[in-house]
Amino acid sequence: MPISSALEWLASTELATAIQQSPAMGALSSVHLVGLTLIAGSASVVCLRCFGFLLPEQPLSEIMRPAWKVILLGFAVSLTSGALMFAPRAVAAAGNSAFRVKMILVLAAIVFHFTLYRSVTRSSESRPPWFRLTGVLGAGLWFAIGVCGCLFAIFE
Amino acid sequence: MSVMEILQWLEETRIGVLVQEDPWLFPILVSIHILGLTLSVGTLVWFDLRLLGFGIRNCSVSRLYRRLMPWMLGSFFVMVVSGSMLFIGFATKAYPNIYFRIKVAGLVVAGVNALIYHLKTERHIAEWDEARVLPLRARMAGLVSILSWTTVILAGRMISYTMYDVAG
Repeated sequence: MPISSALEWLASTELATAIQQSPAMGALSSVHLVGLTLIAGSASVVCLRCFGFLLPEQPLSEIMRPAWKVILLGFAVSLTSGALMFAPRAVAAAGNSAFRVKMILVLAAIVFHFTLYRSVTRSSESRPPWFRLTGVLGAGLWFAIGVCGCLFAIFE
Repeated sequence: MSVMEILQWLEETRIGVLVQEDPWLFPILVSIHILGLTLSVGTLVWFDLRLLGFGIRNCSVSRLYRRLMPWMLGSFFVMVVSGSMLFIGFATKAYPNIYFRIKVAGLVVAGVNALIYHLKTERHIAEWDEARVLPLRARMAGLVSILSWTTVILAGRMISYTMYDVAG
C-alpha cells in the first residue's frame, strides 16, 4: 500500500474521525507535553551530570538508570498521545517539514538511547569525553524534538 | 479601578502591544515557556521522585535538593518572565479563561505545598535525610507536587486551544 493511501485510510478510521471532531485534540496535546516534560527533564538531568554540574559525587549510572525509566515512561505517554493526534491528520502532518524533521530526530533519539546511552550507563571506566557527548546528544536531540513540535503546532 | 480595567491597561503597555503585534515575539515566548517547562518541572520532578522513594535514591534528600536548586530556580525564573510577558499581552483574554484559572489554582497549590514542606516537614529532615522510605508528610509533598504541576501543564496547554487563533 503506497504511503499516501495508507495515511488516508488511517485518517478515515472511526477512531481518527472521532478524535478530529472532539475537543480531544487539545487534551491529547496537553498529555503529549507532559510526556515531553518527563523526557526532556530527565535528559537535562543526565546532561548536567555528564558534565559534572549536578551530583558529581554520584556514579553516572545512579542517574542514568532511573533517568532511562522515566524517559521510557514519558516516551510511552508521548507516543500514544502523538499517534492519536496523528491519525486524523495523517496526510497533512506527513507533508509538514517540521513534523518530518521531528520524526527523523525521534528515530535518532531511539537509536542513541539503545547504543551510546546504554553503553555509557554500563561503562565502569571514566571516559569524560564520551560522557559529555552522551549528555549533549541526549539533551540536544530531545530539545530539538521539542522545538520541532512547537514549530509544527504553531505553523501547521 | 475594576479588574478588567487593570488588565486592559496591561495589554496597552509597550510590552503588551509588542507581544500581541510582533509576529516573532509571541511564538518565541511560547516556545521558551514550553521548553523552559521541561527544565523547570522536569528537574523538580526528580526531587519529587526522591521524596516518594524513587529515582536517585542513593543521594540524601537535602543534598539532592541543594544540587537541583540552582537549576530549578533559574528555569523557574525563565518561566515566570516568559509567562508574565504572555499574560501582559493577553490579560483580558486570559483572565476569564477557565483553563487559565485552573492553571493559576494549580500554581497556588504547588506553591503552598512547597511552603508547607519547607516550613514544617523539612524541619525534621535530619531524621530521614538518608532514608529511602520517607515519612508520610514528605511523600505527600512529592505526590501533591507531581499532581499540581501536571495540572498546571495540562491546563496551560489547553489555554492555547481555547484562546488564540494560532493553530495548536
